[in-house]
This record gives sequence, structure tokens and C-alpha cells, in this order.
Amino acid sequence: MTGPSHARAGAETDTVDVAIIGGGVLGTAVAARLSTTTASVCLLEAESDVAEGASKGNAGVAVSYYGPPGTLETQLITASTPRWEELTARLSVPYRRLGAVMVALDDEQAHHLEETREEILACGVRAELLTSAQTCAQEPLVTDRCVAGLLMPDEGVIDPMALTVAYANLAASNGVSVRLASPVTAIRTDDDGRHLITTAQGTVRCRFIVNAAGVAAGRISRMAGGEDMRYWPRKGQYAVLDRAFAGSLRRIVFSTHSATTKGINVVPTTHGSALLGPTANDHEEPDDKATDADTVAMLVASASGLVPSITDDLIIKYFAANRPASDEPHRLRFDERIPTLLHCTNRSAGVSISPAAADHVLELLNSAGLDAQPRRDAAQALPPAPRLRDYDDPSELIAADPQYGQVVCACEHVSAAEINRALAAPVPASSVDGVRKRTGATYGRCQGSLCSAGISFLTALHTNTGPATVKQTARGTVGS
Amino acid sequence: MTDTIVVGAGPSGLGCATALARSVQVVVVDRIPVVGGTAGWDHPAIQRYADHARELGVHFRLGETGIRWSDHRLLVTGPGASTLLPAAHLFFAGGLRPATAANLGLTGDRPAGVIPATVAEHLLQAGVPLWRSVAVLGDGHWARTVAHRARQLGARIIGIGESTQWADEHHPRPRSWSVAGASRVTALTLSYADPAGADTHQITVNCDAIVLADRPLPNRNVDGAVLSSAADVTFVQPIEPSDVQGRFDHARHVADTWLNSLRKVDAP
Repeated sequence: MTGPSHARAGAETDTVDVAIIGGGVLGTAVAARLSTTTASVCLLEAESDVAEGASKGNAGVAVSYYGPPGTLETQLITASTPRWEELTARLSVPYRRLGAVMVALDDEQAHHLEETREEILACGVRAELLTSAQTCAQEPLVTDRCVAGLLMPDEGVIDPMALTVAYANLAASNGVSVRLASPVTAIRTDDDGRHLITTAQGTVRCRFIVNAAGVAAGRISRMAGGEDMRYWPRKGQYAVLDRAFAGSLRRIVFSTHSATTKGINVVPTTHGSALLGPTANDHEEPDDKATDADTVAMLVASASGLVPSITDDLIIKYFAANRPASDEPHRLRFDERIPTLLHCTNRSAGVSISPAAADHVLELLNSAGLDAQPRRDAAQALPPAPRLRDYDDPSELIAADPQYGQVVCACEHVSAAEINRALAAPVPASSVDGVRKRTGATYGRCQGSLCSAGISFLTALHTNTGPATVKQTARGTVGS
Repeated sequence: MTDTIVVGAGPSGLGCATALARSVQVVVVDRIPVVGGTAGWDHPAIQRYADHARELGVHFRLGETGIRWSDHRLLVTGPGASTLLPAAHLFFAGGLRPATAANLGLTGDRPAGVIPATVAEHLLQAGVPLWRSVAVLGDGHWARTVAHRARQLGARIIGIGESTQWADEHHPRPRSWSVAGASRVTALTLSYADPAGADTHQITVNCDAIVLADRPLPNRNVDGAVLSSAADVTFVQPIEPSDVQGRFDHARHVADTWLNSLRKVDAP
């Protein structure tokens, strides 16, 4: 069993069959899949934690439909859709198949809705047209101005950060070397076809590269001498609604897709809150994750068009993230120049394709000669990760582990047991934000006003840092 | 007659408890293992109130957290055990917290170094210099306390608010504000309405920390006792009075009013 090697000191060289570049949901899903085979694997992530890009800043919908039939993306989504209950139970990831209603607010949108339904059915996915009254019966908070609706019963909500971390934890507990804070600086290919990847922390020699670097995938391809592929950040802004309101939402509420945009949605989260968003703004600066007041106001205005009881004062937080826009929306294939470089990127639906995409990548690698065989001793599941808040009566949980009775985050009712588990996992939280991503602590209406000092101290204890040097985010410390 | 639960053992919670205990059974729950809340367990008045409450038969469950109020039962957890406490009515005296970034409309980047005042207070207690140049948003009690402590540890203080005499640099409250910084905070941008017209003018303040110390808002963290419309819950979280005696007296008055309303219902 190997932990994440960012804890190890000094430069070193790993020699592996497959090096995966990128610790987002696709890179970690591939790592988890390969970890159950005989292939040796290394995962390289530029940031000091996994799930630091689009995988931590998305709406958390495991979609059943995202685009036209016949594409690989659609095949992978439809192959993944029936697997969520089994997969998330196995990996202890919060998931609920809530179903969605797509809402039409005028006759033109109702017309679009019928077209969307045709496309969904052509993908082999369930969808049912609803009258205005039926739509409001499905989700009573939807506006009575709605003229029609579309029920999509197979849509679900998932915790995308917990999913990414779980994939990484499974991979690490099966021996994958997870190297964080290891941005790739050079890739060389030797005469024997082996690649030598240089990172900020040591080098990796490998037969195959899986390029799952998201918005940086074009840069990685160029470094490896592969195709010239264009990727750019598409910024999405989101607002988070208080649980006290959002808990009454029954379903995901989508706005009707137009020709150009999928619109602003209202998405219940597995934490009981809800997200409004996303916007879509193409730009050039991957580090630009700024929110702005006009966009937040627009989010609330759009969302309240769907659900009129949504108001400004229910917002507990807003944030933005960049998803990888590209000249080729999904790219799961070998490079045309470098036959051992496998691109693994997708526009918005990375979470939704991840289970089947990981299988697909394994098949592609095997077809190219990896020869990865199933390993009987590999773990397929993670230990159960119960959450205090999910229990009506937590007495047995607390009897088994007293730390479950000790609430650290008062708003979200996250216990010391959950926080210490996150800090001691195979790929552990190493910052206050890392604890939030894994447990939901500080995610509530007080945004850590009560608990983040305590979480800083717990994190400092586990990471051998002090009050000034403990990390608040993946990149920045509490003190300066 | 009736059983009640008080969440919070600060001045307001103790005020509720001592008033209620003359007529009904009272259990006080607090997540901190001592009484006093932010007033502190060693405050002389707090010790007097708590002693009085105990004489009146108030039962304290300290170091336990109220999680969920539903069907006239409060789910309470503590290290090693959980309990469902039945009660006819809940008094929620969970204190105040500083407004969050979303409450303040603070947009922009989300780097490390944006810290709620309550957290900054805790961190600075370690006595380690954390920041060189701190923008303190707000001018109330938290702002003064954090500014004082951070300055003792060598930081320059930028006060954003109406009465920020304690700061080294002052700016009035802007129309909007936003954060800049990729890994750590580097600046705070303040936008003001231009008196001459609709345009705004902006001031950029360089800083390596931003402390959220603006208006106090009520803490609400027991599910089922969050919205003001919650059934069978009385919220006792005044902004004013802000002193210990004032809050205690205010809470006694709130509890007495509730008891009187019961008597009216019970009267033949």
C-alpha cells in the first residue's frame, strides 16, 4: 500500500506502465480503474490536492443526457447512468437520483422542449413531456408561469469533489503513486518509445501517458510532441442557496436549452443546499475564477424565473470555476502523432462520463498493448464513510466511534470523526479547503465563522504545520 | 406544566433559563463545555447567573450540540452519546456571527487570507504574527478587537467603515467591494458612486488579509430552527443590547412574555 508520495521528500524517478497527468474526475477515475489491474500507475497533479479544477466547481449533476445521439460522449453517459447507485455505494460518495424537470416558460421554449425530448429519446434515455400542472406537481416550487415541462427521471445529483477524492483514494490504496504538487515541466520520448516526464518533484518514466489535464491538455500534448489541440477556460459562476430553503426542493430544475446555451439551472446538492448556475464565459486566463456582482444578480434573476421563491438573501456563497472548452468537445482517443499518448478530456460532463470513460480508457490502452489484467487482490471499494447528518438517530454510530458525537461544523453538522477521516485518508486533506471538499465542513450559512479556526488547528496537527503555515486553500496559507 | 430547551448558555440563554425555571422545567444545551458563550465562563456576572439557574433546577448539557428540532424533540449529540430531548418549546440563543462574504456582497477571487473575524480572533490568540497588512471590513466590536490584536503583532490596519479610529488607514464603506489574489489575497478593491454622476471610482487597497468583521447576524444552526417561521421556536439573539447584563435582562423579558402567553391560553 502506498500513500500519496507528495509526503516523500526529494526528487525521485518512478517507472510505471501508465502515467496519468491530471487529478480531476477523469484522471482519478482512470487511476482507480487501472489500480484494480496488473498495470503499474502514477498520477501526476500540478496542484497540492486532487479536484482543484472543474471537478470542484461544477453543478454536481450526474446527467443522463447531454448532447446528440451517436457521439462517444453520449455513449459513455448512457453507459454510466445505470451504474451510479452501485458505484457510489461502493466508494461511499453521496448520490441521489432525484430526477429533473426541464421547464418551458413560453411557447417557443415549449417547442424547444419537444425537440429536446426527441433528441433524448434518440439517445435511448427516458424523458416525458409534462403539462404545466404536471410540472408543478413534480416540483411544487416551479413557477406557475411554466407552460410545459419535461421529466428526466434518470438524472441524479452527486458530490463531484467526494467522487474525485474517492477515485483517488481507491487508486492510492491499490498502490497507485499519487504525486501532488507535481506540475509537468517537460516530456521527452526516447528512441524505445518510452516517455520521460519531468515534474517539479522528480521524474516519471512510462510506456503510456493519459492526458487528463483538462484545460491544460493542449499544453501537455504540445510538450509531448503530440497534436496541436486548443483548450481554453470557460468560466462558470454559481451561487449556493441555504439548506433551510433548498431542502424543500424535490428535483433538479433545468431551464430549457436554447440553440446556444443550456441556461441557468437550480440544482439541489447532496449537502442539502442548492446551486444556481452555471454561466458560460470563454476567456484566456485559467487562474481567473473571480465572481462579479452583476453575474450573481443575473443568476438570482434567472433562477427566480424558474423558482420564484429564490431570493438574494438565501445565498450563502458564490464561486466560479473554469471548465475545459476545446476545439474538440470530447477527446478520448490516442494522439495522431504519438501512439502512446492517450487524450482523456471532456467539456462539461466529466463527472457524468467518468465510470464508463475509465473502462473505455482501459480498453484503448489494452488494445495498444498495455496487457493490464484484473488483479484479484485489488480493493474495489472504500471503507464506509458515514456522515452524522444523514442519521435520524446516530446513537449506534456514536457508540461505535465517540468522535461522531463531537460536532465541529455546527451549520452542516460535520463531526470530528469525519474531519479526522479526511485528514488521514490515503489521499488526505492538506488544507482547510481540502477538509471542506471532503466533508462539507464550513460549507454552510456561516461559512466557517464558527468552525474554521478549529479545522485550521486539526489540519495543522495532521500536516505538521502551525497557525501561520497551515494551508487555507490548496495554494495559500492562513498566514502570509 | 411544560418542558423547554434553551440552546446557548451565554447571557441570553442564561436569562431565558432563569426566567423559565420559575415555572417550567428547563434544559440548557451548549456546544462549548462551559457556560458564558462569547462573554466567557469566568465573567463574574455569568457565574452568578449560572449559579442561580442551577439553584432553580436548570439542567445543563454542556459540550453537546443541538442538531435537529422536529416533532417537539431536539436531537443532541456529544462525544460518546446522542439524545432526543422532548420539549414543548425551544428557545434558541445561539449568539451572533459576522456577516459572510455573500452577506456583504464581496465578490472577486477566493484566495487564502479572507478570514471571518471570529476565526481571526482565535488564530491571533496563538500570538503568531500572521499578516503584514490587514483590511478590516466593518467597524463594530469584532473589527476593534481583531485590529487591536493584529496591530500588537505588528500588522498595519486598514479600516473600511464609518468609525475606524483604530486603523492606520481609513476608507468609508463602498458601494461594492471585491477581492483580488491568486493564491493569497493581494488587494481589496472598493467601488464608490461618483458624486458627480452615475460612474464609479475605485480605490485599490493592497493587503495580505481581509477580515470579515461587519454587521452581526444571528447564528442559526439547528435544523428546523433556522427560519424565523420555525414552529415552537423563540429566537433570542439581539444585536442590541450588546452588554452581558443587558442581554440577560432582555432574554428574561422574552421568556417571561412567553410564559405569560401560556397562562392566557391556560386560563379558563
